This record gives sequence, C-alpha cells and structure tokens, in this order.
Amino acid sequence: MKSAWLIGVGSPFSNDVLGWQVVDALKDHNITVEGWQVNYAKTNRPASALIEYLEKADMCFILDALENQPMTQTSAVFLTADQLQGLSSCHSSHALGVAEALVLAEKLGSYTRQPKIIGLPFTCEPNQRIIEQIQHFVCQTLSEEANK
Amino acid sequence: MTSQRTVKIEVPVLARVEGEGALELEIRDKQITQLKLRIFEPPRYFEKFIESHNCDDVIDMVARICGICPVAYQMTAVQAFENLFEIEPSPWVKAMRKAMYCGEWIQSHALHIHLLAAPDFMGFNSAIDMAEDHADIVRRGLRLQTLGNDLIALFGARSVHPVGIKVGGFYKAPAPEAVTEVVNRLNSARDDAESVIEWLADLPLPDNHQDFISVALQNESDYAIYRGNIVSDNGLNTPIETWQEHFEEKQLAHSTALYAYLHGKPYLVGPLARLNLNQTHLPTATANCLAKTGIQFPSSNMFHSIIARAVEMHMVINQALDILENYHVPEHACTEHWAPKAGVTYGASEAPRGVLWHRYEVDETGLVSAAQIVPPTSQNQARIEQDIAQSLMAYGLDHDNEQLRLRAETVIRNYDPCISCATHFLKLKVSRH
Repeated sequence: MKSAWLIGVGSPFSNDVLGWQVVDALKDHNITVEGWQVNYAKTNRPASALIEYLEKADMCFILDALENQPMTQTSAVFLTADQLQGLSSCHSSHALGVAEALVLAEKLGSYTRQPKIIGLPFTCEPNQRIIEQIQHFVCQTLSEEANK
Repeated sequence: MTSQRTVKIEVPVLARVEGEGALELEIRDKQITQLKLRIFEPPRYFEKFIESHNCDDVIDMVARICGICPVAYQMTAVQAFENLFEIEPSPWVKAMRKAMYCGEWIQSHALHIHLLAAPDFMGFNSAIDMAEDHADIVRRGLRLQTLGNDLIALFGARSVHPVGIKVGGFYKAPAPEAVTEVVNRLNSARDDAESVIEWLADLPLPDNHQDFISVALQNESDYAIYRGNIVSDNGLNTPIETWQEHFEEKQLAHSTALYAYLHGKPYLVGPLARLNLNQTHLPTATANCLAKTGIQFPSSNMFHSIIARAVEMHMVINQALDILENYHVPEHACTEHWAPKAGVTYGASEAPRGVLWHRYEVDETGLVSAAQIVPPTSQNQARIEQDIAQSLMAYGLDHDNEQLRLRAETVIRNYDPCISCATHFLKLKVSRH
C-alpha cells in the first residue's frame, strides 16, 4: 500500500490557519482510495517539516492559503510546484516558505512524484463545497497515480 | 578616475535573516562617514497591548512576538511572574522547561548554521544552491531543526507559538511514548552535533578580530540559559533587577527598534558572548569536542559565532537527552496553589540570539499594568553597526559595491538577527564622495 499525505501548512495567525482547518475537515471525511493509505498532517514550519513528509510519502498534497488570489476566488486552486514559483510572494520567516522548500526538496531529490499544491483562497471558510472539491481532486489524482 | 563619485546600490530584501531592513553607507575619502542599519518595520506595540491581561494570557501573547524564539519569550515572562508570586516550580517543571528551551536552541541554531550562515562561508547564494553540492549538510540541518521543533511541540503542542506553559508549570505533561520517540532521535542527533563542530572548524572563516564587550547571563551551577546574573567581560556582574541601572535604550531616527547600550557603549549578546563568558561551565563532552578543534575561547573573532552556536547545540542536545531519558509523568504538571500579588517583577533568560530581559508591573488581581521587553537583536543593533564599519575597513573600502554589500550582509547574518523581534532587513545604499 502506498502512502499519501495531506499536509496543511499554516499558523495560528488569522486566515493563515486555513490550511490546518481544511486538513481537519478532510480528515473527518476519511478519504479512501484503493491502494493508498491516506494520512493527514499539519505543519507550521514549511522548510524542514515539509521535506520530511515529502521524503517518506509516495504522494503529497500541500494545502496552504494563497493570499494573492483574487478576493472573489471561492474555490481551491490546484498547482504544481513550478506554477507555485510564479505566484510566490514569500512571507515566511527567513524567506523559507512553501515555494522555497519545494525547490530545496527537488534539489535534495526528496520526492519521486511531483507534490500537488492546493491553494486555498485566503478569504474563504473551509465550507462543504471546497472540501468536496479537494476530496474529488485527491481521489482522482491518487487513482491516476495508482494506474501509472 | 575621479575621487568625487556617488554610487548607489539597491538590493532587494535580504534573504536569510528574519525580517526586513536596509543599510545605508557613505564613504568619503576612503573613510566611512555614515553607516545606518535602518530598521523600518513598523513598531508592533506588544508592550502596550499586553496591558490589562492576566499573567497566563501574557505568557501566550508574548510568544507571538517571534516565530523562531517564542519559548524564550514565554520562559522569561513566566519566570518574572513566578518571581513576583513567590512560586517555586517543582523539580519536574524546572527540568521539563529546560528540555523545552533546549528544543528552541536546537531548532534555531541548526537553522542558522546550516541554512542561513553556511552558504556565506561556502560560497553559495543560498541553502538551495548549496543543496546541489552539499545535500548531506543541508539534510543534517533540516533533521536537527525538525528535532528541535518536535521537542518544543512535545511540551507546547506546536513549535510556532506554543501554548503549553503557564504560571506554576505546564498545562499538561507529555505522554511517555511521545517522549521516548524524541529521546531516540536525540540519541541519534549526538553524532550529528559532533560532526557539525568538526565541519565548521574546518571552514575558512574570515579572520575578523575586534574589540567588543560580551554580555550574557551567568550562574554558578551551569551554562546559564534560564537563570543568572547579567555579567560582562569588562567587570559587570549584577542581578537582573538592576538592568536599568547599567543599560539604556535609545531611539534613533532611522530605526523603529530601540538601541541598547551598556554604560554608553555598544555590546554583544548571543552565542559568542555566552561562550566567551561561560565556557568553564560547558559539560565535559561538549568541552572535549571544542578542544579537538583547537579554537580558543574567549575569542575576539566575530565569525567564531557560528562555532559557538554549534558548541551550544551539542550541549543542549545532550542536556535534553539527559533530562528526558529518565522521564516520568508527574502527579501534577503545575503548582495550582498560588495567589497573584501586586508589584514590579523581572525576568531574564538566554534566547538563542542572546539575553532577553522583561520587566512587568502587575496589579493585585494579577493583571499586567505595564511592560518593558528588551530583545537580543535590539541589544545587538549598535554592535552590528560598529562591526560592519570595522569589518569593511579591514576588508578594504576599495572593493566594488557588490563585494562590499556581500561582506556587510555576511557580517549582519553572523548575528542571526531577528528583526521582527526587534521590530526587520536589506537594501544597501552606498554613497562615495
């Protein structure tokens, strides 16, 4: 059985907590995909903690609040690590945010499958619609990966 | 070439320090005539908005001052409140607080050594660039940082702004299984810690000897982290309650962080100052590791700060291990029987970056009515300016602007400044006349 990790990145500050809240909500939904053990985690230091998960997981989904989404954005945005670089506006301490951690992880050869980034509109609440949207994306991605 | 020329360099926000700021440098006739470490991050008013809150709330609120060293703020605050309320925490509480504080030193020192400072000394722009050629070094840094974070989370539920500490002890004791897992990793980390010292001792660190005053906490029993008098290598030895008799904070127009002076002079706090003053208190195993390097302390080479950091990391990994190997769940994780009382109280401890000093006025109901918090980076600010000037003079002002900028940044990063704590860093503007 392969391991998938859904990792909420955030902090207790304001809407930065969104990644944690959405992971909690997804855990309650107990996502099941044949051939995959789905795990859930929350982290507040992207650089060291994310890389650790990337190294032990067969597939990672990283959920983080995206501040530079249009204010009208109400659904999640699905990105690759490369796409994230273009959006990065690092507010993390020592400039070691999610985007930088993913570049570092790539240089270290920390993952075999490209992690998927799930950007959460900064202004949204973890509502049922967004949870279902993410749940669908995770199931579809893992099913496709299982067949590869 | 004319001797009358003005050159301006604009560098985007400096990576590898916590926060944002700028450096302005003016050179006339091959002399530095003006040097300003401009800290322009807006004041954060923590001292004001903790007023009217009770002591346990304040312990969690001051943790929000810093994402890197929240434990230091919490430990210093709780120490002040317990001093005032005459609470003597149980030996278990004292030991576990030390283990938690060790976690913060491990994560902060591992991060700075491997990801922030090392690229300067190994010829890379960043840890990301360094990772291609030195993946093992970067991995070790991340591994140690994660261990430190997890040690903090063991007691505080999370590593950023933990919430486990309260007046009298902890909200809850960690489960033995969770402690055992961390103990196993601390055991493995001992070799890592030793290899960090050996690696750094072989790095070509600049030879940058300067005359400066070292200030740190000191006590008779151990390498002071949580308690001690404030001492300096020029004769000061004073209880923390008398800090204001010797130190002065000043506002300068170019900085939103206050400058601090000891008897009117800049001074150094942090790992190098601590090791310069406390090396006789190093545990034997750590002292032996340092002795193998042949590097002598006290040291006047500012770039030996990174060695001092590694020595301290070795020490705290072993200390945390010693404490947690014999872990047991206590009957009470907190002293519940205490009453607030009015008064003025003080706390001081050694944050990873140096002495952190707090003063509180508390009313009879236990609400804070006034606060003064002096973080390490603001204490180092005047010393950093002094160091940049001396370092650039020694380096040679005829180097081009890019070389001067890089050397100045290296000097600043060497302090591991936390500008968010002091209030951020780096745009360099050089004027040559």
